[in-house]
Amino acid sequence: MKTLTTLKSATAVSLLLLMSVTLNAQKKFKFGDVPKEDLSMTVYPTDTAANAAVLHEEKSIDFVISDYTLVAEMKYTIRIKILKPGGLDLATQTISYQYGKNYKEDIISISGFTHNLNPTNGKIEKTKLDKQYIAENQVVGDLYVKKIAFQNAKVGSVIELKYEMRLPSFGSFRDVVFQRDIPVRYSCFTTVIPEYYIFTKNTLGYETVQYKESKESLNLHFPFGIQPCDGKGMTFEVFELPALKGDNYTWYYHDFLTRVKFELTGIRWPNGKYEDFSSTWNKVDKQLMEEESFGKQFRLTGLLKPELTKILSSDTTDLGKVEQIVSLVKNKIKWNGRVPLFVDDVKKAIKEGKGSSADMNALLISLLHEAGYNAYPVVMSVKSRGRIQAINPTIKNLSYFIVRVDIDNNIYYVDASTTYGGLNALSIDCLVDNARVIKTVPEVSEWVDLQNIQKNRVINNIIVGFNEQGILSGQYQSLRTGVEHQLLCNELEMENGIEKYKERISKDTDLEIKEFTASGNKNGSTSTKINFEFAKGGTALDADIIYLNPLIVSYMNESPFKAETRKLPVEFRYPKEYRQSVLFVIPKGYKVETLPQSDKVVFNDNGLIFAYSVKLSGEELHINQIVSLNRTVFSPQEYESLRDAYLKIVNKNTEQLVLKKIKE
Amino acid sequence: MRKAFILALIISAIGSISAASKYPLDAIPDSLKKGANAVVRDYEGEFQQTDINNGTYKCTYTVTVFNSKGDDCSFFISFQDRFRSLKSFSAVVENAETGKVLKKYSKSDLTTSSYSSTFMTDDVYSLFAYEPSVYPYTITISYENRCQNGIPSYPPFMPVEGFNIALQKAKYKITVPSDIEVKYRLGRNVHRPKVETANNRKSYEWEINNMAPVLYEAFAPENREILPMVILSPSKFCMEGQCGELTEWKKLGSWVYTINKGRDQLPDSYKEHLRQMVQNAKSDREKVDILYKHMQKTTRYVGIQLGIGGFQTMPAETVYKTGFGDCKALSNYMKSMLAAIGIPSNYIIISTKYKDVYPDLPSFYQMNHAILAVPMAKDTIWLECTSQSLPFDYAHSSIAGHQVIWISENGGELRRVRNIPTDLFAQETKVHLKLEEEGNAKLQINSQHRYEYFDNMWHRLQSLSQEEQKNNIVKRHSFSKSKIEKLSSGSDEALFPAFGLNYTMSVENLASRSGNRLFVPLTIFNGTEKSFLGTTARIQDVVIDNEQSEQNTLTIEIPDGWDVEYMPKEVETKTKFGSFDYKVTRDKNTIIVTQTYRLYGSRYPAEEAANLRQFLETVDKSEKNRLVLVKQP
Repeated sequence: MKTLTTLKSATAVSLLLLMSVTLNAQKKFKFGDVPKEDLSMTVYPTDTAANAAVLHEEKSIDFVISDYTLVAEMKYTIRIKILKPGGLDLATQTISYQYGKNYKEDIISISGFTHNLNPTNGKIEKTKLDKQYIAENQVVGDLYVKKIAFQNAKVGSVIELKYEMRLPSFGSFRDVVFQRDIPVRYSCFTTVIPEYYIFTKNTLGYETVQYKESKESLNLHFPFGIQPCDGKGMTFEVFELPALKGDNYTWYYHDFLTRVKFELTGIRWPNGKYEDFSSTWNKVDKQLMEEESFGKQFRLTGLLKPELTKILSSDTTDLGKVEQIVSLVKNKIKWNGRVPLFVDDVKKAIKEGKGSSADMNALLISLLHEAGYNAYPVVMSVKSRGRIQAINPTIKNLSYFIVRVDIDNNIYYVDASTTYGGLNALSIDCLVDNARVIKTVPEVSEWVDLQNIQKNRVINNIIVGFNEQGILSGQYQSLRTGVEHQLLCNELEMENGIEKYKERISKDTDLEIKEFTASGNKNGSTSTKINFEFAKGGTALDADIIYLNPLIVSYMNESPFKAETRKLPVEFRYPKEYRQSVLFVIPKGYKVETLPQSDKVVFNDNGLIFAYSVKLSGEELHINQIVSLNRTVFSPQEYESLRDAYLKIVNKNTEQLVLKKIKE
Repeated sequence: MRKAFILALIISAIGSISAASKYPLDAIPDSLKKGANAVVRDYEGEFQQTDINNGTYKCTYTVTVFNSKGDDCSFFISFQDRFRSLKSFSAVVENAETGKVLKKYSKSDLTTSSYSSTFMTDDVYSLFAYEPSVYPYTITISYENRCQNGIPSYPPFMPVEGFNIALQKAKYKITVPSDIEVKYRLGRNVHRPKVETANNRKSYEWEINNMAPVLYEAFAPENREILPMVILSPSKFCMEGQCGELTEWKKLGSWVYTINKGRDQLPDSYKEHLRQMVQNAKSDREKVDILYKHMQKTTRYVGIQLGIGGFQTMPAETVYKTGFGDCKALSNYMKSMLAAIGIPSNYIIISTKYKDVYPDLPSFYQMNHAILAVPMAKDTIWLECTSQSLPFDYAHSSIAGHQVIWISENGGELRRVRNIPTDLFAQETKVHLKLEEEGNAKLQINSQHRYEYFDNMWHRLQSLSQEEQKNNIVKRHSFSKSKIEKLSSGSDEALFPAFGLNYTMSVENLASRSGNRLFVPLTIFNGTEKSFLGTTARIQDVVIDNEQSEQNTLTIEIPDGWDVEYMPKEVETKTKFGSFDYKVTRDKNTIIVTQTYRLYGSRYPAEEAANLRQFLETVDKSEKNRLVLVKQP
């Protein structure tokens, strides 16, 4: 215990020392002039494994008037220490920028140095960045990239890069991300915003960002003269940010990085006029619904009239009609693989027979409206693009939309671009915890959690025993719904999908599979059924003792959480329920020597439930297991208990039944 | 308005004419449809070389695509630099069933980019990817490339670029000035060309008709062997005034030697510095080692491919100044450094993709990498100059055993990089396992990894922190909950270095306990599965590039008061593919499991695949073995 305390205080002291060194270093920062201690550093003190570290980073944005318009001037400086061969990638830096007809980002100047410590004489050697090694590529369209290769960069070097960029007004105000996959000793962002512009800011991530605000006076140089105005100075600083790396079981790693988000909420012009930009979600709704390539596309009439009339005059329920309208959209427009938020051109999509998810869903809404149903767009940020920051209402946050339709007090969600499943079948990327159903006045928009709109289930039934030849054999039956259904359909519909699936299952379970059938694995159905007969060799009925896993098919054989530690939360892709019931018939002439034991794990909020029960009645052994994952996000603090729960699940799924021959 | 109407009429007329498509679906023989995602209906390539430096390539092909897996056939990409430019492009898509034209594209529909993963090149590329709305569709693509400033290689005749694509009809014609000869290599099922000479020009013509699709199989021979194609090369060429011959590898080597001559200058002060660095070294080998490590510490890989078609190296002096270069520049730099201390070495060009080169078709097309060889009295030191941390003289798995072009003042010579020796096991593991009554265990693990295993392990762990290494290593095992206590790792720098890992680990529930029995798995590591062959009938030969060999020993100390109830049987197999020995023995309270496995690097005819699979499955089966212990009453 005592050693621990000393250790702790020692760490505290060294941290303090480090802090003071850091603070000193900050004060003295001068581009082109690197302190010797940074050059002689061989490992980063708080992260000895780091390949490299950002020693210093500064970004500032100032606003100037150019040709009556407000232009942002961005100045950027970074100093990086290379510590290991793996960090040498950073000795080639890239700057991406846009350069088109209407939107131009100009890189005004680039300069840099590589600093090395000469090992023989201990002197600092400075190499100026040679412009010859700045390559420029057009990535695609207006998007360009400059690649900068620093000369003489090696393990131990410190490289410095400085550039200035001129951007049209607010293009510069994207997220400022401070944290990286290497440690950052110091980073800051400063700006002075003319009083006319009103921004909101939000700090996100795990680490502390220090913020200071000041009152500044500015002079805006207009061609007609100087216009003085007040400005709001903002400074954001971070000290000693640890590296944060991605991990499996995360939706979008970027969500966890420490950063600041900005949003322009309004402009108050010198003449007193106030121009309001989306500062509430209601305004975002309104803006979207008036948008040519969004809301207006939901009010198209007269599309596919004959087909629609035919559907509406058919003798089916409303639900049936809606389903037919969805099929109509899928038949008329083939999905081109794109997933934009905005609609391109619905009519063109119909004409060409292909279009984006947005084109398809916009057509669906128009048709549903025309048919007299209540249908709404549901906007979201898909999982792979990060979470919606609800406190920060902006269109920039949104990346996708699907459709909600209300039929007789029932709510259904549809994405016309999904291949498998019926209503409520969404792709995993859309199963977000926060999506917005846009309704127009007098109705009120609402936030919804889409994760549980359909049950994602696997239900397995197995009957097993020894046949007359003494071979372990039986029947397997499985029902999949929701995402599980969609995933299985995807697998089975691949090239030789059924063969490959059989091969995989046979390998995983060690079963010989016969009479395999799959049904429902086609477009439109909402569940798949798998049936097969199986036999398992290797267990001879003449042995005195028989060992076997009575589950036959295991839920899992290995835990996905083997790592001892974890920094990020665990995020499962979707909630799901797995049920398995096995009827095992004890062979004649044998008795049960040891039975697997019933067991259970329940997380306090039922976020995860695992139950395994065993019952023997006469010759029939009944085993049931349920793994019910009701929550998708588990905090790093819960990692240890999650890991234990999975250990138990694996243990139970590999537990053996022991049978003994009855001696006559 | 009127004009538009007439135009519409003309278009619809064209539409109705082409509705009687040149490529009706029913013209595809059934024999070609089986397993095909697409069928190349017609392919016509024609290369006209006007003189040593100039030429034009015109190509038109029509493909019917049945499903999305065949969409690659409608993907077009064209690279342009000082030597190649794209003159024209057009594409027409029709509904394959109705013959109705769906869409037409021209050169302005191409997406252009100069972005690449290489730092600096002259390349710009244009690409086209059709987004289909119906299947099947038929697409016809026509384009013309212009070659200027030198023709070091000819466009290959490659009507089918992938698997599951059938071919109905393909033609390729090349016409060259008669003082140039076309060298070529025929792929599977391609006949010799029709050769004609007229007006001081010589032409070669190939035709391929009705070829069923080649289906994808793992561990198959190289694509260039199993797909229908012809690879071609001129007998001589010039590039920016530097002329060379491609009649034999020797001459290709001479050209490479010539264009790189004199690019090995270094400042005198630096040469002196290098001489001082090695003055205390006891042998030449040690000197090379010192300079190699110095080169590793002071340079890095940056892809700069400019100059003569990307064949010429950056001068050594430039690398000295910048501290970077691509594989050619860094190898040449290392060569120059060695020259400074009086040790001769040879620049080597090599393919990381193919183990063997075509001896009778010297061509640049076959090579993609450069390394350095330093001949010593008895053997040769092989240096990979693009890595900052690979061990000295290590022939890593993408060069070991590969045929190379050895460049010297005498030209090029075919030689081979040191091959992987078969007397060392690629992987050896020793595990001591102390089992406790409840199934928990303490393990002491020692493993050595060589060859590909070395490369994998080394890449995996070298840049991780100790905590990350531990989190990574636990994934080598199937244990759900374990904790690594002591961990040390390192590589020993022998000719074929071994990456060693030593650690102790405590595992919760390693053995599963049922009542008074313990079921102990005898496989400690994950991913030990050997079988890679599916159950479907094999079509292609099975090619195993590198020998696989492992030796594993597991010693289990069983808890006091427990006895063995079941012990797996011994397995001993020796086949033409490899061998497998598996033994479980008991010595009082200790169980010893030994396992020796070898799979020879070789090529086996398709008919042998089933036997090979059986052998591999025998090995895999033993991986599932368990030991059953029972508590003594």
